[in-house]
Amino acid sequence: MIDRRTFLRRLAGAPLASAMGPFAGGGPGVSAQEAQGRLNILVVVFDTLSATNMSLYGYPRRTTPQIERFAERAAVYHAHYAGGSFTPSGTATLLTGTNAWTHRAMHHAGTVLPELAPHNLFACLPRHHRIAYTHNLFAELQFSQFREHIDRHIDPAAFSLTDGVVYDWLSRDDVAAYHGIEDLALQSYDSSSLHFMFLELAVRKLREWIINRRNQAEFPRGLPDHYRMLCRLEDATAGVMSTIEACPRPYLFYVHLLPPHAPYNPAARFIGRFDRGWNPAPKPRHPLSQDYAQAELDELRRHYDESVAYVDAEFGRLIDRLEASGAMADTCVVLTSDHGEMFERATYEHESPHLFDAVVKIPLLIRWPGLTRRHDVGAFTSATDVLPTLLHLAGEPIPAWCEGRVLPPATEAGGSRPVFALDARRTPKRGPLTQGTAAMLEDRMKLIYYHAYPRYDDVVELYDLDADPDEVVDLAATRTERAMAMKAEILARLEQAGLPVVGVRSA
Amino acid sequence: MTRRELVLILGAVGGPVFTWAALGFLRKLPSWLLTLETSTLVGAFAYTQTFALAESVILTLVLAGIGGLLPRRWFPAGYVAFACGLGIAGGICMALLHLLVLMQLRGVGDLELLGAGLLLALVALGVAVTSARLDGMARTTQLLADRLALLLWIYVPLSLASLAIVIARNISR
Repeated sequence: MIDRRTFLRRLAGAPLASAMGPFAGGGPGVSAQEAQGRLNILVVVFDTLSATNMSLYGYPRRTTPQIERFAERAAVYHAHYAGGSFTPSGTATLLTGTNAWTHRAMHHAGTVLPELAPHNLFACLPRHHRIAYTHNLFAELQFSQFREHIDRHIDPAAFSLTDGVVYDWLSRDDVAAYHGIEDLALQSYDSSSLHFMFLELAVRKLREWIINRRNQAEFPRGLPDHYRMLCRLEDATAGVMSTIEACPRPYLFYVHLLPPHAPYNPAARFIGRFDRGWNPAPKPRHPLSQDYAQAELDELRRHYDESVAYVDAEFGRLIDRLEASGAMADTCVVLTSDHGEMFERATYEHESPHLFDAVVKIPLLIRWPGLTRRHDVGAFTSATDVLPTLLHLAGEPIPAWCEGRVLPPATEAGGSRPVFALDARRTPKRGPLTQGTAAMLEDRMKLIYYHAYPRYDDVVELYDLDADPDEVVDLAATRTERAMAMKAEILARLEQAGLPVVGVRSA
Repeated sequence: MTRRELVLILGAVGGPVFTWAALGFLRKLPSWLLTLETSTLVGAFAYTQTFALAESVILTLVLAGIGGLLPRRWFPAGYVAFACGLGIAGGICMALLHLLVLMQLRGVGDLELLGAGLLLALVALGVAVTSARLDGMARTTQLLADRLALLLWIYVPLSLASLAIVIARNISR
């Protein structure tokens, strides 16, 4: 098995050339059928799936054999980046084709600016039967903004074992009801309900205990859960298949599933799979690191990797069923995520100011009818690119407000352009940027800019992802000119988007 | 049960409930001012107040209903004193439980929380039983409930207006 660094170096040698190859030979262009808007589109988003933990992308643990099988006839994007490091920003970037500084869904339970809500993937495919399903409450809140463009919104409880949130049966006014009831009254800590929170908590815990006991043999650690949602991927994939079989054509089905999000509760057959063998080399602490011990991070990572393997197996099963039913002949399938997960630098999860690859580098694979072999794309791509690429494949016009571009090999590769990610969860929705982290990727270099953190203000870090894919050698002090140029670009973009950085020294 | 007695129980139950809801909202307000649009913020406040109204009314009706079922001889100083004592002491104990959760955040285990909850429930019940049996205690709890009922002049109109906002927001969607 090759190591990750060698894998990435080899990959860098043939990125766009490989992607461009098919055009010379009349390869995977857009067929007449697709251009007429009859292409079915299935977008599968696995929450918190980091590309850095997938063997597809060179991870030493064999976590994704089924996805590798899917990749044999798909476009595989090796340097694909989320718009942010958690669900609201990552999902909104994917669904709106705009950067976080434009859509502004950058807070806990964040939603896009009301005036930009009509700018979304569903609205762009009016001739498709548009279906949306998610386990994730925050994605669900964004669906509520796009409601008028969604033909069929499937309730989260449909493919789950519990009802999920309380507010949705109390109200159709999702966003305000979520904040008033779910995030305040019934929040398990910091709640505004004096008595009912404990009553609800007791009922919920009892119900979870009963359901988990019933499924203990198959899920010994408990079922995957999020808020009040307990789910099994098997039910979700079966639900997706039955929906596809019954829905009108052409359809757009956007599915956002919870695993491998924490808690890492895969089916029993995946537990312990990575207990022996490879462990990652520790990375140095960062000034904004948390206090996790390396052994603790290693254990969490093993559990996460087991969940990734669980996701992989279920995705493989879904693809097999699609192929067996003949649906793949006229369906474009997209596999991606909203953000990643971090188990390094004494930091865990994705609730930190970091934008290292572990939290923002996500998978992107697209297979559409006519692709007969794998196409590896090594250039930097962004979640903003998914929307225009799908519109291009479906023969729909790409709106002017879209900030992404059509990706190769669906079209010819364009020139180099920067890709961005932003974490600004403590900044006002309409600006200015009072605290946050922004990342910019261009020409194999990655700049991370930190603004207004205690004792870490107006700091840049620069990494050469070719020579240093693990992002441990900060080149900001030695390649000052490049670092300052990239910082100036980030500041200019933020300023242009109406999110100016206040109190910053001159670039 | 007379209307005056029902108002006393509503005061004893609703005073702490509404006050806690208002404190919770004020804790959230700084971050919501940054992240929510004004209309969403107003809506979120309306849902919080409506929830508090529902919580107060349901608990008051439950207490009043229990009073109709239990024999009067169990409450020598009157059932209203028992209900007011339970409402006030229960509210304070629940607030303490919330503070325990807040201090421990997610570190507090389910069993510890259950244990603390049962202990505090026993304390509240003890206060209520004492109120129902000792005239001095009964007078004190009813006096407190009477004072708390004054807050209803603020909280009830506010929560009824909130309910109207919630209904309007849902009808318009």
